[in-house]
Amino acid sequence: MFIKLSGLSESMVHYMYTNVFEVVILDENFQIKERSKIDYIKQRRLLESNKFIDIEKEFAKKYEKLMFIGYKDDKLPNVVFSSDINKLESVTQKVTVDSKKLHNLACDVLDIKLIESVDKDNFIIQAVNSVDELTRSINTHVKRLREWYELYNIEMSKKYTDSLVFIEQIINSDEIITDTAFNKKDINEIKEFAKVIKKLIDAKVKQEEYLNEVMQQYCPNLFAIAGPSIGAHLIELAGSMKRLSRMPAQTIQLLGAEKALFKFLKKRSSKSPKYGILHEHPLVQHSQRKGACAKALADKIAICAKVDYFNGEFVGDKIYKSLEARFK
Amino acid sequence: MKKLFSGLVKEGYEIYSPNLLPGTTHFAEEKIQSFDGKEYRRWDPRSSKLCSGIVKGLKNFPFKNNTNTLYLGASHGYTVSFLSDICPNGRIYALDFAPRVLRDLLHTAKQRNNIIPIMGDAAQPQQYQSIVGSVDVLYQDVAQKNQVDMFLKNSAMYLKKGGVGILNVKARSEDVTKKPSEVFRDVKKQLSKKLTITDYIILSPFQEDHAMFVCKK
Repeated sequence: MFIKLSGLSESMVHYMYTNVFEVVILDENFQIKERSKIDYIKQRRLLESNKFIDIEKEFAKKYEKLMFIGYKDDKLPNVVFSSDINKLESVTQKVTVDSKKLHNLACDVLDIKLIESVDKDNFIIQAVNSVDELTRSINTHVKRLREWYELYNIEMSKKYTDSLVFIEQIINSDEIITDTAFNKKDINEIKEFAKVIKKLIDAKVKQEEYLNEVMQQYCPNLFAIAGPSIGAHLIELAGSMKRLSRMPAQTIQLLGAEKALFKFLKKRSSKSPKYGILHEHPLVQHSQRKGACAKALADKIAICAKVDYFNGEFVGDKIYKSLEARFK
Repeated sequence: MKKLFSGLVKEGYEIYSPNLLPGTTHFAEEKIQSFDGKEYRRWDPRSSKLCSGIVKGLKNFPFKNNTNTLYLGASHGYTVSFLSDICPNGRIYALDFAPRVLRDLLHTAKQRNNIIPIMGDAAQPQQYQSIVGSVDVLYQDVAQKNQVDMFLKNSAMYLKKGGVGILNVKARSEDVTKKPSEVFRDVKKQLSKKLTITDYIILSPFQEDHAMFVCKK
């Protein structure tokens, strides 16, 4: 069969070319013989994965010998492929595409693809980033509030070190100290500010609860072994659950320590880092052998991520207990 | 004001391109200015490698009024928007694979009829064979490993004979441990097996550790 095809004379060949609007058959002099419209949006999965679509298969039955301009992963007995740029050029000169139509179609397809690309990962990444940013901004606001309130009442700020209690005290206090430069309007301004910070803290607590819920549902094993915060940070640093599940344990161990790692790789003068974000894990923090613990933990996280991504059974509990026994 | 090639204009040290859609800008830091009653957009060499190439003395500028371009690594569409100014009658197939940046690109593309946005992986050029025909210019600006392999594959599949290929190499993505000059030497060797290199520009100080290779098929 192969010998027959390679020895086939040019005069017998018809060319087949598929663009986003139609499948076209051309004869050996690049004259259009037949064309058939296709719906690209419906067929795009097949076309993008380089499979033959139905209309192409029909044409392949109809014509004895076909040369497809382009490349397919599929094989049909009477179709050969050509990636010759000259042939593509002469075909595209005959089979022209309207620019405006092509532009509209491309925009529509991209719209659909962007909607499809949204995953539970994206929610987790956004939520964990939002929690981080809220924490940061709450800290700066509380600092400013303390500074401001200390002008009025020094003791209170020193008495309540916990920021939430401090804010609640400010909101609830009614007494007015008379021999200060403050009048009621000045104090009210501080109180309003405290209320805003209180709302931010509430929002942060709610988002953390939401993150907990989503993580427990979406990746229970990773949640069991790494906790919501570290688990979500790992997904964020890896980019997605898919990428995390395909990462080797050594890479997971050093996620979050990229700066130190590249410094080590470039200069070789500094030592290689032992852990990145895993440093915050309670097991690592309380262990005597931090490096070994981080290594073992990363190992188990790699397993858990794989189990989660491929919808396995719940094993996170068992794995965490075995780790605890080793490092406590 | 001094006229450069393909409608571009140089004023002082800055490069301006004629605005295809007068009155609209796509990026917050863009600056609009008019010369001779026509509106121009400022092209920042620090944000665009093609522009820094022009500032550093690119000899043959391949983009003309009706050039068809395949742009790999379109990102947010900064350079793409200027190419769309330069080639109003051509097509720019702008390809990227990250959803985040494609959202921005789609917004730009919807306003400009000559941009055709594609979501796809440049390492697998068969993925978009039904959308892209043969092109006059292949422009690649991706920050990944194996940039040269990708470039050669795409040029074999889509670039016309006599067409121009422009490859931006980011040495730090190719290998962080090697010196940039070593990486560029390897790239040169690999490229000259299949194509003829006509120009080689190092893009510092606008882009650190980047080089631009202009090739002819």
